[in-house]
Amino acid sequence: MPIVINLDVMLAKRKMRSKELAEIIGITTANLSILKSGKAKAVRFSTLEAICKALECQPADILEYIEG
Amino acid sequence: MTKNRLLNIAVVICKTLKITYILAFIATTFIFIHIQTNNSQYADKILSFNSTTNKSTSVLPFHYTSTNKWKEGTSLKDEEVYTTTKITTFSLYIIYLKYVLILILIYFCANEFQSIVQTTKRYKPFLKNNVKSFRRIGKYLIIYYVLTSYSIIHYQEGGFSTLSLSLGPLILILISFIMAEIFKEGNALMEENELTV
Repeated sequence: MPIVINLDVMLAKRKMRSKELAEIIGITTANLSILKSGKAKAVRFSTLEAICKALECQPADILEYIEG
Repeated sequence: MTKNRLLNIAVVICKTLKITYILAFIATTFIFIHIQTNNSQYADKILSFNSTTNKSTSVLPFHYTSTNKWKEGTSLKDEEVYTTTKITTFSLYIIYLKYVLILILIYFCANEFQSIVQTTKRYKPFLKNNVKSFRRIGKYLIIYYVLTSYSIIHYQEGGFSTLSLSLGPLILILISFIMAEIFKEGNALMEENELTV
């Protein structure tokens, strides 16, 4: 998929663990792993909002469109 | 009636059917062996057919029966030609194999349906395996339809053939393949839902 999730980069920037983020935004670590690995087919606005709030970033910092 | 109770009843029916078909298979095999070993006991068993060809006027169910004697013009009566003991060995084996195959096919259908019901009981009906199960049921029913619609028996001095086409199995075949497509769509939706974070 040409949409790339840069969640790892943002987590590293904020020095936060995946487990910690999962607990803050209220999703399972398994679901967060699906999102990080790019296997997810859709992201809810509520999830995106919670991630942006927890990581103090914009949606564009997490999602990127790469042609090809 | 709650969902689980209904599904439990369906599972019990499937299991009962499977046991019945196993018993029917054993009974068929026993009768097949018994006809060959104790041939004299079946000497008076006459299979009566209408010697005339009959044809129904409606399209389906369509039924066509034909009987013929090898030696035309002879004064052989139907009772002398169409007795169980006069069925040729080759024809007897074909009949046996046909009925065994029909029993096996219905057993497999019941087995596949049972697995579908059991996954539904676990609240996961839209699995890829269930799509495959419905397709398999459809294929088994096609073979069943072919096997049951045509029948031919060879006697030492005559023959009997029948072609019987009914609408029931055709509808079941259609329903099986439609259900497979519905479950395929359901599976796509389930996967999408599971991969939505």
